[in-house]
Parts: sequence; C-alpha cells; structure tokens
Amino acid sequence: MWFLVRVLLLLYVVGTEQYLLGRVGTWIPDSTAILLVFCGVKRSPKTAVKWILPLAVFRAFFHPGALLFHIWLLLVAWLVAHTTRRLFFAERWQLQFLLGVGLAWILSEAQGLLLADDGQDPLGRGMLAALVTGLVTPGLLFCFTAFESRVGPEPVFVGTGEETR
Amino acid sequence: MSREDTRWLRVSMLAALVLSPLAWRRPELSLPGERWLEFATAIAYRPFSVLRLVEAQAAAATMPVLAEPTERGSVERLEELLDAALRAGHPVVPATVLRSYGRGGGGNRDSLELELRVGREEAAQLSGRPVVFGTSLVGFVAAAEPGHGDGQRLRVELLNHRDRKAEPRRWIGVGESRVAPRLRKLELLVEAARPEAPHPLRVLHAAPRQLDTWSPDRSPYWVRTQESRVLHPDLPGGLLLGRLVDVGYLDEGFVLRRYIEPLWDPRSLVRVGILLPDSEDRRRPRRPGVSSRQVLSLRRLWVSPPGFSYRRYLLSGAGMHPGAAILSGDRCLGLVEWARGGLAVAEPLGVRGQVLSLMWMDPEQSRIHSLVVRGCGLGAHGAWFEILHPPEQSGDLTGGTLFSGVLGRYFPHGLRVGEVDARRGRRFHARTSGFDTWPSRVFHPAGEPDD
Repeated sequence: MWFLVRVLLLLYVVGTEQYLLGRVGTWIPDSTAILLVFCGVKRSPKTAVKWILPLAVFRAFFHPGALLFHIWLLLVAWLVAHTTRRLFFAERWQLQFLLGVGLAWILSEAQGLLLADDGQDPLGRGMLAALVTGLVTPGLLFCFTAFESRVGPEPVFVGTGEETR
Repeated sequence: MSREDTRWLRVSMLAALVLSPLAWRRPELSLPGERWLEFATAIAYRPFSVLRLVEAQAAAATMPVLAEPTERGSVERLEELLDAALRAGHPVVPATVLRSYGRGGGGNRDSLELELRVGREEAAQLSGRPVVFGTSLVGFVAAAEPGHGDGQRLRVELLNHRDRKAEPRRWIGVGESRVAPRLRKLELLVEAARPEAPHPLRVLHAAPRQLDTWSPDRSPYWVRTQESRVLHPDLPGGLLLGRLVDVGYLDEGFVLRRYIEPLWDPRSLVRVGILLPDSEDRRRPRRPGVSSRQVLSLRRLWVSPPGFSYRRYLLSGAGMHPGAAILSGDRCLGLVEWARGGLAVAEPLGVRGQVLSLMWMDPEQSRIHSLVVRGCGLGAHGAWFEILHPPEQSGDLTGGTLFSGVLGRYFPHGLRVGEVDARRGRRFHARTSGFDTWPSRVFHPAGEPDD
C-alpha cells in the first residue's frame, strides 16, 4: 500500500515537473536524476529496480520514446550511480552533487541523441538544468531519508542469534 | 552486498545490455501491453477523466455531427485536380483509396482498400480490371472473396503483389530512353519480385539482353506495357510500369539482373481509376468531400508543455482509433497515437518519426504533388518534414498548401494541414494547423457501421 501511494506521488512529481518545464523554464531540476541518485546511493538494487519500472512507465506517457527505451535509459543511469557509490564515499554531499549533475546530463544527452533529429534534448534541458539538479540533490536526499525513516514502516530487526547466547 | 543484491545487479546489467541495440535503433518501439499501462497512468494522473469517459459513452455525446466547412474553395479545387490526374486516355471509374497495406508477406505494402462499395455482380465484373494513377499502372482489382456480400469495398492488388498459391502475373513491356527516345528499345517480360528483392518488379527476360540502358547519356529508361493477346488481353499498351534499374558489372558493360521501380509509392496514392473497356464509359459520382463528413466530438483533458519539439494531448471521447485524424473544421490538427477505453493520446502532425502521406498544392492551385514525408519535430511556428517520396523531388514547395493524403480508414484525404514556408534540402518547414494549442473541443472522423 505504501509503495502504491509513493508511486502515485512520483507520478504527480513527474507531471508537475512537466507543467513547470513549460511555464517556469527548462532549468527546473530533473526529478528522474534525483530519484536515480537516491536509488543508487541509498537503496539496494532490488528497490532501485522496483522504482525504475513505474518511473519508466510515467516517462513513456509524458515524454517521447517508448517504455523499453526509458527502462534502458534509467537502468544505465542507475548503474552509473550504483557503481560510483561503490567506488567513493556515498554520504559525501560533493559526490551526490556530482552524481546529480552527471545523471541529469546523461539523461538529457541520451534523449537528445536518440529521440531528436537535431541532437537537442526534446525537453529543452541543458547544462544549467544539470547544475541546478546537482545543487538540490544532496538536500533532497537528506529530506527523503528523513521522510522515509519517520513515515515508512518500522524496520524489523533480524538478529544474528549471537545476542541470545 | 548480499547475494540477492548481486543477483539483482547482474540482472539489471544484463537487461541494460540486451536492451541497448533496441533503445539505440528503435526508441519508439512499444510493447504489446504498453498502451494499457499508459491508459492506467492517464487515469491515475487525471482521475476526473473517468467522469468524462462516462459522459462520452453516453449516447448523446456519441451522436455524429457534420464538420463545419470553412475553406470549401481550395478543398473543392483539390478534388478537381485529383480527378484530372486520372485521365489515362481510357474510360475509368474513379475510386478514393482508404488505406494501403501488406497482404503478401515481407512487410511490403502490396494491396489497397478502396472506398468504392459494389454489389456481388459488379465485383465479379470489375475483378481483374487494371487500376491506374495517371498513366501509371498501379495494379488490378482483386477477385471477390468467397464470402463477399453486397456493398463490400473493393480491394486492389498492387503490381508487387505475389499470391503464394497462384502463378505470378507477368506483363510484356517496352523500355524506352527518356533522354534519347530514338535509341533502340528494350523488350521485356516482367513479373512481381519476391518481397526480399530490392525493387518491386523484376525483369524475367530482356531483348537485347545486354543493351546498355545505364549510361548517363541513355538513362533513365521508362518501361511501358505492350498489348498482348496471350498474356494480358485486357491490358492496354502504353501504361507506365516504372523506371528500369540495372544491377551488375555496369562499368564493364555487363548486366546481371534488371528490376523496375514504379514511380508511385503505395502510401502516396489518394485516388485511382479502374480502367474499363473502351466500349464502356461510366463515371461514378464522387463522394462528398471531407467538409460534410460525420465527426465525433472529443474533449481535451491534458496537454504537455508548449515550446518543445514534441507535444501530446490527452483526449477523451468515444470511438477513437489509433491513427485517426484529429480535426477542427476541415483542418487537420494531429493524429491519435493510441486509444484505449475512451481515452487517447494524440500528437500534432510533424512530431519526430511520424510517416505521413500529404498532398502539396501550388499557390496558383493549378497542380498537386503527392508526398510521403517523415516528421522531424516541431519548429518555431510549425513542423519540419523530410520528403521520403518521390525520391527526386527537387522543386521549391515554398508557398504551397499541404493537404492530408491517405493514412488509413480514419484519416481521410483533403484535410488542410498547413502552408510550406521554408525549405532546406529534402526538408521543409510548414506552418501547421495543429501547432498552436488545440481548442478544448476537437473532432475525429466517425467510422462506418462495418469499420
């Protein structure tokens, strides 16, 4: 149930981002990149895949490109974040900033390369949007983690058996 | 990392690897059930659309209305030019094309469905009659199928149609140089090529066999039919089959195979003529233009942000089909990408990857060209298109008006698409009718009872 509610929230985040892109400007941070950094840095591969699939469906509805293309794009971007986490200190805000910029740039360039004839991102995003995404990523990641620990289900402690001896 | 995490990581990497070629080559390729997922997304994003769906399903909302004519003059002129293009020097029955499709396998379009409805007897009479576009031979009226009832639509088998069970049709043709008509002519026996062949027709025999038809001072050779009492007694001579294409060691003067490339593309055919014997002369009344077509109303629920090279509209209404035209008056705004359960996503004409059949009419309204184009994305105040057919189209299209060609049963011809205002090589920019945000109420053509 909680997962469904959060998926619905994600849908409205992606929809609101679309609305703001047309009305406010193309520098609006990329919510997909932020979620992928969160999944890559803070979550296990199983959880990440669980989030990538609904996100790909939403992107196939809102953006050009079909579902398979979006699944591929999100998997590639998430693998970049996941591999980077294993090589560096994932808790450092500098790394999270760099990952935010990098993933937003990868998503924008890949969409421009594969979905547009002129090589421009169909959503009009450029380096400014990638930088803004990077700037907001560490703060949002902190908020997500805090939100999940307060609102989400209670974590179940599984002992090793050592403590009962 | 736990064993389960490692397994998920490996699966993800493998999936990314396997999907790479598909994502690079065909990013628009959708899965069979994908539209239902998008439908669920649309319902979740716009929950109030459920109420609209109920409204749309109600009988009052689905009553067809007549589209308001706005620019009857240019549409009528277009119809006149389409009829004039059918004059082949023989009596013809004009027929509007509803769609072109592939029946014979290989993915090639080898059949046309005509709008013309005939009774069982008339279908039997017309069966096998040649079908022309101008002086080009396009194909032959298909034999009525066993269950053919009265009022069924006629079907045309194009020249490249091959029936697996029957002997292929063969024609006798004569090739003549376009640049030097006094040069020796090439006599040919022609049949439909296999679907995997590079061109629709192949030459079985040519006499003289090694006649030079490829040198720059001789090429191109155009091939026309020749009368034959044995092979095709009903086919008049002089109908154009296409342009001769030679394959072989041409530099050394040796040709291995010859093919024929018709000058038309099945997607660009809007109106064709069924040739009648010279003793008969009957003209069927043309059906009324799109201005009096029955249409169904649609409501706009959501539109993607303006100013980008793509745009999507979420529409609700009854009876929508993928590929249907979205109209406002007699202007074509876009086409339906997918439709499920009363909801549809539509795109304006010209978004990247759309393949459309269009007709271009010059500013003086004296001639038309049939074009097959591919959308290259929305521009500053319209859309960019790339010309796919005809391959040698080089004239300046600027200033002309674009009308819709034939794109299936629910995408009628003769709808105003826009005006061409710039050209860059094989690409042109048009101020399209559907570029500005669509009104909250738009329409789509209503189907007929058996559609």
